Amino acid sequence: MTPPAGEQDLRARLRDVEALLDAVTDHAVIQLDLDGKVARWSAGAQAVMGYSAAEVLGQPASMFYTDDDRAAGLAEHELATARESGRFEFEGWRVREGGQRFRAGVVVTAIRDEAGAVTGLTKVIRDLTAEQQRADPMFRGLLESAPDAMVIVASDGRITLVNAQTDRMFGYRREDLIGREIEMLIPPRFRGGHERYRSGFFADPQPRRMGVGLELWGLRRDGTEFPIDVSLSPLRTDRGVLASAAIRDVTERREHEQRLRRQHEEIMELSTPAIQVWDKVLCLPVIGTLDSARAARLTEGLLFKISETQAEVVIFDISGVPTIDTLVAQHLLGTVQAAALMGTASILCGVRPETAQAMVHLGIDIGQLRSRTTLRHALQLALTLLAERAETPAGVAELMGPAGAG
Amino acid sequence: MDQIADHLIDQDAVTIADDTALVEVRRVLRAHARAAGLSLVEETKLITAGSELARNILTHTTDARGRLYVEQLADSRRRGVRAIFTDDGPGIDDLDAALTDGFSTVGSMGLGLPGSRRLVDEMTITSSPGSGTTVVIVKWRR
Amino acid sequence: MSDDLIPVMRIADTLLVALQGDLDDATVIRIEEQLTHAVARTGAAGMLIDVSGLGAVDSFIARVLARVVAMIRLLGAEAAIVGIQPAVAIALVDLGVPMGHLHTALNAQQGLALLQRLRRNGA
Repeated sequence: MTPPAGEQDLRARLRDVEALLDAVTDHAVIQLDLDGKVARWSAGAQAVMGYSAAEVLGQPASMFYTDDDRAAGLAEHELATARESGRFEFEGWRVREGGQRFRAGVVVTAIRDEAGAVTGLTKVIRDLTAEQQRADPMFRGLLESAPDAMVIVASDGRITLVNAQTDRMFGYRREDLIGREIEMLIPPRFRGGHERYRSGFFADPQPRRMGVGLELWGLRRDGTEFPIDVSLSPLRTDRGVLASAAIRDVTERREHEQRLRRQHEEIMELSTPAIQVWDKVLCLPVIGTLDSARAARLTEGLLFKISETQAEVVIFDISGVPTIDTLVAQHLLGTVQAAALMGTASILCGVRPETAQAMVHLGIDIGQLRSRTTLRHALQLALTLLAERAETPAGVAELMGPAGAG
Repeated sequence: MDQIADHLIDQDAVTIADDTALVEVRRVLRAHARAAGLSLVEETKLITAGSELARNILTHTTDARGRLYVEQLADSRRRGVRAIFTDDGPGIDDLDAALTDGFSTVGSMGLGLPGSRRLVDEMTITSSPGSGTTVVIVKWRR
Repeated sequence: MSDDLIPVMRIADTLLVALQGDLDDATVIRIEEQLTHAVARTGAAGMLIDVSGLGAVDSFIARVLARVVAMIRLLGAEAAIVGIQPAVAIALVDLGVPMGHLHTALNAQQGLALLQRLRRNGA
């Protein structure tokens, strides 16, 4: 039985409107009833949210929110605001089928009947994450090709975008990071301070190196921590300021710095008797008898000092050694060898005739080690050696590309 | 206080089955050296000796299982690290020769035992043909 | 072909590379290949290998370094090891690894001067 003309008209119009709606595939158009449950679900809604109409009709809209937001009652709050003000536009995080989080641009409008009473709400949801990716292919390209881990954070502290290096560095899949709080990537004991720091950054967004003078730590998915260096810069977009963080794993650099610090501390402790007699020339007066422990300390102190002063020549003054024996000679030659490994030349001085005799008797061969009778002569030789080694200006340094070009 | 020393370990064990184990051997020895408060030079010597001894196990035993046990030491005067390298390989025939510089069997560097001996404070070797080898080294904090 | 494990810098006709951290044997071998190829490919006259980032050098690395230097010499270039740390130098001497034939320097600057000197003296 055909419906009366008026109704037929209405149905046709309705079909037209639905056809119009379904033609919109990159925006989710959803109608909610007064209780906030899904009443209509467009083709676009399925495309954006992943759910089919059958799965969502009659369900509360809060199912599309993140767990935290749902617990905080955000869905109800937004609905109430929309009902009061008639139209409400905001951004937030939504979750599509499968659990993937994305940044959503939402417009909620109240539907009114002829009497003006609110009968429901229309929600239009845009996938901002996808839009961002589509709109900035060059930006994404830059991000992916950056050697450091890049993390883009919104002002609410949520991770908006990451690159492959981030995944690798922290051990997460991208999907597990987007929409989560940035603090998940740092050890719990630093999180409070980091949140405060974050607010400070967004209050006055300036490019800067994060935490100058502090030691920063990153937290991997497996729970291990590692030292990091972070550079921040503000990204001004039409939706506000985002923070762009370049993160570098500085485990090796930290190790190196620690080593240098320990060396320095140990030099202080050892109070080495090595004296700097000239730029790049050290003199170590060896006095008295040497037992193994003392000899080892002298050697260490000397080598650390070579490192600190960048000395190129060391003069061992043994005029204060009463009798030279095999053990002392061995320690001495060992030290000379170690200094040579560091690139430092050695000169022996203060060898008295008795010492020379004793050494020949004992079969001590000083090899390449040069010897002079007095400190003055030794110093003269040292200066000659330095002159020979005098550096020439270095050329311009460039990094070679993989194909050897450059 | 650096991160690594925070995991104050009393004992650690590492299986030495292939090349990749050497990195773990060095890492564990470094952690123990720091925990015991060894100086930078003492730590470097311990790690170098440990790397050599672990290498011995790989080069001179085929199919044999090697293990490293590391532990903290403390007596009334000082603290230190003890590392025990064991394997059930063919064993060392002539221990005296092996401890002399210049001794070489398979490979170009020989057993590296004399070198390792010089790097540590105490070294004990137990070995005989057919019953494997155990090398114990100790490095004290000065 | 060995892909590039470590960055190679070029200063005039000298290549400069840095080894750091704790490297496993396989990586060391691959780096060795990379370095030899780099010298062959670029026709560089010298190479500086900076080891200041190595906290420990055992006999294996020492042997590989000696091999790299020898190979580079065969290619008509000179090589020097720079930045051996004090603790490492002491340990190497105790270990007894023969390293006397290697050219060494404290840092890259002194290393470059050393290579210059070697070339001047007709190495």
